[in-house]
Amino acid sequence: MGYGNYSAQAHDQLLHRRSQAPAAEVFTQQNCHPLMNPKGVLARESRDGPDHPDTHPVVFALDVTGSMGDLPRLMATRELPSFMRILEQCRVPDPQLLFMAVGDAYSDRAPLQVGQFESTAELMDQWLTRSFLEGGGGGSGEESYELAMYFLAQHTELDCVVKRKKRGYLFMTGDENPYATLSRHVVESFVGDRLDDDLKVEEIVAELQKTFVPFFVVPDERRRGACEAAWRDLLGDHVLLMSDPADICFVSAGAMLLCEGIAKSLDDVGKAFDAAGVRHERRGPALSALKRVERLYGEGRGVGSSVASRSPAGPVERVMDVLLRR
Amino acid sequence: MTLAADRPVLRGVRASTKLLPVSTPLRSGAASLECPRCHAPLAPSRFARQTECPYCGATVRVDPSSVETRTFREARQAWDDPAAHGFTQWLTVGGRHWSLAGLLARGTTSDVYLAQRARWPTQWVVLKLLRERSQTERFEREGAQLAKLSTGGLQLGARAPCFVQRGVVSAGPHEGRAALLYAHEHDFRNTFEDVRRALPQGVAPEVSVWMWRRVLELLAALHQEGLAHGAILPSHLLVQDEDHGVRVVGFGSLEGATPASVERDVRMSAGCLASILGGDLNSGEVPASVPPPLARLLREVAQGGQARGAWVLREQLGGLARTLFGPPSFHPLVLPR
Repeated sequence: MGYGNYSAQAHDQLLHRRSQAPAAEVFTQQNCHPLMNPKGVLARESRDGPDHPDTHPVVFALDVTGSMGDLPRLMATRELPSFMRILEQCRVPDPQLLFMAVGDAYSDRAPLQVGQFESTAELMDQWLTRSFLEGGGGGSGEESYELAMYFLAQHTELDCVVKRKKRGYLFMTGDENPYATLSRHVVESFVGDRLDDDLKVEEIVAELQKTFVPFFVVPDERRRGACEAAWRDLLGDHVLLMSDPADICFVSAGAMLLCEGIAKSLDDVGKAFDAAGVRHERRGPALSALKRVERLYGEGRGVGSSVASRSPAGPVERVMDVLLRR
Repeated sequence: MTLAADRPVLRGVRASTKLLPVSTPLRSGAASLECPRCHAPLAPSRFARQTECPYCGATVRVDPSSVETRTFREARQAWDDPAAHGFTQWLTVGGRHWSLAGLLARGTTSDVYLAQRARWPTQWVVLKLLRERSQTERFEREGAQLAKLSTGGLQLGARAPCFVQRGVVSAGPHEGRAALLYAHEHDFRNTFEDVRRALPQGVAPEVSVWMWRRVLELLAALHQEGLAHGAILPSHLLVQDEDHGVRVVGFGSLEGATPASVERDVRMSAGCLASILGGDLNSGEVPASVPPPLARLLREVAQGGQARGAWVLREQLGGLARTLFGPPSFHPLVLPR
């Protein structure tokens, strides 16, 4: 997938028509869309082509349980063009977006829904709005984020990895912990794979990092207490704490710019926000959520998506200089 | 070794220890397979996911939906190996590896280091290592309290440091020492003590207002939870660069809130503020450059005058600041480089 070109104008027009529409009008699915059902899917592909010779795959895995339903609506009615506009301003070539919807495998009907990698506004929007916002989730304080990560680790084919040794980006939103173990029965039920054993979430994250740079995005400060510790243990400073769910696109784009080394500092990210017309009142909070990412990748250390760069960001002394600056 | 895949692929083949991608045709209408390497007939049992070729020893995967967890386990092993990420020295606490990046401070009972998780994506933390074994109980209490503050759903939110881990160093340098780790926030670099050192004449009174209000907000939240900090000292207060944030650390003296302990917290906070205004920590006396109403309030609170709760004092301070300096505005703390 991924044919066609992105047009910000077309995207804005698409969203303008529904800017005031309630979620029920935008997301009309009452069940998992057959084309988003991951069962039996061999692979979701992000391929280079004549129009897109240098693809940058980006996955938004959106928690669609009851407490998180607002975020997909915000993206579908207002915010997604900002993400593309920021990347466009910074000349990130050929972004291809894939949307996933994540729920709870133990209580939801559709705990995992997977779209396709797309380059055009219409198709991105199509997969996003085909998501079934089940609004479920269990009461255990966990959701099946690890199932989504397993799918990405096992069932994606990315030309950027094969041809250029560069990884894609995963931005997973959520407010709960992942299950510590992914049961092979869950995998067989929802994906169709027959595992020879259960998998620990750490094992999945390790495998996932061969092809993706993962970030976990917490929508606001209020919800950090329930999940921050577990996610930091897995992803360290790749856990982004926003102050408002509406910042999802700015924060994701900013993290990508820093990680790619396109922005050397938060000042650079701020300039990109300004050029893309990010609302003034959201600029500061969005930059604030990126402070830890700046520490990892700022000042020219941003080569995070390179497969070979999964190592400390530089000599410890250099990092110390940056950190302490006494 | 990779075998040529000139026939429809079923899945893969593994030569006893090594996985090899290969094609394996399933003859139509028959449940027979042939080894993609030596073409010998294979006879897997009915529900087998894979079978071993009796002639060449290759392991042929016969179930196209089967996935080996071995790849995932190997990936995790490599991920958890600090050497694979370029680290040469690390210490281990509770199975997690940390690399020390430098000494931040040397306290009376412990050494405070900046450290990072020895894998990628990394996590920067403050790692406290107990030096005085006689203080083990107090150190453990601090760890337990910090863990409770971070995870107990208290109203402290982002005002307290985010607890990461506690335990004993089981391998590497400092083996056997008790360790406490909490998240390092790189824009909270300077303690009130550092600020006093950098600006001996004191910070601007406008700046001191938001600093005190942040400390009082934290104390109010803590007191509401039935706890008192017990050691609000300049070395336990961290101030944010280029923003209006203050964090409190040093939870070793945390205790139950009583009228006396609550009053002591509030009193100590006034002393700390007097100190960064260039005044005296104990008496709350400040230089003449501080507007008299603010100086009076500081002195009164620091000397244990009229008792009031942290939130009440915060509101009172807000009202006073509005009278003295006008509506709230942004006054970042700027330290000389």
